[in-house]
Amino acid sequence: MTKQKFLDNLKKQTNDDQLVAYYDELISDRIESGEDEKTVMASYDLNRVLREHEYKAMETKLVEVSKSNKRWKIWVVILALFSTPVTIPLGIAFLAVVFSLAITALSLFAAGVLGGIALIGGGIQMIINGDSAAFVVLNMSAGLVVLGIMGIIGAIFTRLIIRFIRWMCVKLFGRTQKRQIQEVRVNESI
Amino acid sequence: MDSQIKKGLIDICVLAVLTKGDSYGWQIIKDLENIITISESTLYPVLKRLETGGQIKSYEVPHNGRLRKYFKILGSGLDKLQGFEQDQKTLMRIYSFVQSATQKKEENNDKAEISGQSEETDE
Repeated sequence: MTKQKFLDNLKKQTNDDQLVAYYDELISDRIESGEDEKTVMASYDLNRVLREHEYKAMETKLVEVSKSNKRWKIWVVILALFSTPVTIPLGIAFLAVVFSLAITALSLFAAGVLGGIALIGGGIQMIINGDSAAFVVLNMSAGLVVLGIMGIIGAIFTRLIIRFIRWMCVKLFGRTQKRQIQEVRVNESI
Repeated sequence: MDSQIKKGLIDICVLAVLTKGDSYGWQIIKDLENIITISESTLYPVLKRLETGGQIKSYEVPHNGRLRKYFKILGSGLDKLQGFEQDQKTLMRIYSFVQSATQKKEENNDKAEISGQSEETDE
């Protein structure tokens, strides 16, 4: 293969003018230094050159990806900083809602179950005593038990919300870790 | 030479060559051939990386009716070389450690051989 044909093929395969200029210069320098053109050209296998540069190009691409990731991280930090006047009160409000839900659930559970049990006991006592208000008391105790059950449901709901928050955090943190791993791999491969 | 160790040293070697004066692709390979073997496909991304990193800069000079790309070391490149001088101490410590470990292993092997031979003679 002649020098020109090699360079033309390289250009066709890579469309990289800088790479073609690099090999053009190298080949010319080798020939100028006294090496025979045929011997020089025989040392260049287009497929091998392409394979080697494809590998290097992949590395460069990965470096670019990691650089864009770094840029993305910087943007996230900047946006996070600028959004603090909104996100901090929102976060506090969100935590307050979760906290109040948990407290409500706990108090409903305590009031319902414990009060309900106590009133059932009282109602039974009133029936034994022949008090006409016994059924009212029993109805109230049944209502309280229902409230208690609702409290349990509320507690489960709160737990689900907490799990959801944890899942969100893991997802966000996990993504960052993946990027960091990718960057480390890229740095190792260079 | 192990490719992983080589990867870390090529940049330094190229920068070291350029401290002697501005140079071009083929000349850099020739200057380094007695020190470390670099293929043309290896040198290309190294030069690109060093240039992108601001450690070297390139310029073209007309030569025999064509343009030849020369590379010049910049301040940041010189800083990297100075940084390597600090790494050198660590490298020497690792070298001494590995060398002493290899020597000990050889001594143990020699002792085992000698004891084996003496046992054969006794029999």
